[in-house]
Amino acid sequence: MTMARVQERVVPAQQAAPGGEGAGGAGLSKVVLRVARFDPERDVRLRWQTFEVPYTPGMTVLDALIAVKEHHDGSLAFRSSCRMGVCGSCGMYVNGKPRLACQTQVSELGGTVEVAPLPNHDVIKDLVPDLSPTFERHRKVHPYIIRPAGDEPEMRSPTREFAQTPEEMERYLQFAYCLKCSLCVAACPTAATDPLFLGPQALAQAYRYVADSRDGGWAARADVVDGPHGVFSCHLAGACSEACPKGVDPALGIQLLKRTLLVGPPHPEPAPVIGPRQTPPPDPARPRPQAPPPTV
Amino acid sequence: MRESKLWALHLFAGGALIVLLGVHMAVQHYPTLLGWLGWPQTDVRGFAAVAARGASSAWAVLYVLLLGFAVYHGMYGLRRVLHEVWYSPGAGRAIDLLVVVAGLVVFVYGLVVVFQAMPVGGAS
Repeated sequence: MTMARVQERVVPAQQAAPGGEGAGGAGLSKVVLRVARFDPERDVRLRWQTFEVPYTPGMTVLDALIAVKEHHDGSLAFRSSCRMGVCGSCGMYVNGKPRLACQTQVSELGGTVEVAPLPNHDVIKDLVPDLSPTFERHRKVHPYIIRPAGDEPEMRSPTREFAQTPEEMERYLQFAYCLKCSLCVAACPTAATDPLFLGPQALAQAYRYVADSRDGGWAARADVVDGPHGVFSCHLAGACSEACPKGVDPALGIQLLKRTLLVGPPHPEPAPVIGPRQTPPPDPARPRPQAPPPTV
Repeated sequence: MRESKLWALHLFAGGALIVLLGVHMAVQHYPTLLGWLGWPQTDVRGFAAVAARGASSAWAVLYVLLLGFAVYHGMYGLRRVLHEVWYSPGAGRAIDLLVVVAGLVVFVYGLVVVFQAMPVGGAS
């Protein structure tokens, strides 16, 4: 499949209607959507198409795109799933900023909305970016709890618990809210110039597990993040933290990761497993509940 | 060497440059400032003063340190920029080699400049 990197920064034709962002949609009767289109079979660069849809109170950019797909052009391609800012599927470049379409109110943008695929990503079709490089970089940083070698059986089949204080949880909690929506990567100026850069998403997730008191995988992660295209490539622009729809601060995570590389992880040893298991182990005689067969 | 060690040295070199360059600037270009601190006022850029500093071991050490830290700081910065704009794995090694060779050439040339002011037979 042919894909194209959006080379140019999309400059919005009109940032907002009179009244600007936050005008509240008062008097808005229709929404003008300027949508970037890209067909890998015939296009070499983005082309633009304009649609008009009737405005309804509370309309999000995703609602407007769905209206376009239902009433104007069924071939328009975009991703969405939960419609409530949880799944991270509908990341788009809306009026000059990477945003989740389902969390962006049309009324805050005025009457004209310009929608393009996420920058710093190849485009699969129309507004669908190729997120696989983000996921590959995420996998590189070992985004899971790594226990010392002797604890492997306990990890596979837990019999006891790990102790963690609320303060220890606070160290990584905000980073655990990451949706993997890749908006931070789309906003990152370093990712725009260096395709090998690990990127704010993966680096912040590396810190999320490094800061977890149960984790002992610092050495494996340090090998990944401490390279020429790792944590020290960050220019500290802070655009990633501004773009994150869940309030995660990847720029902070990157700075804390730099500190960790110099002085070591916040906890010298992973927390030991403690105490008996609080819930009874599964009864082998009792059959496990089975998921219903898929409907699609 | 790991990137974190190179980066830490880059930071240290930056701090050291502020101190060493500060000494150089204060003595060579802002003697009035030193005068306010009670330092005797002399013609610091006169031939005799320059020749005396050139023959001094302490000044030679200061300038060699200044040269070393400046070359490292600058070359590390250049390397980071080149890594960002030229990013294939093979290019990474070529950039590192180029920067090390260029840095060594500049450093050796700087050493020659520092020590050629020394009188033959050793420093004073």
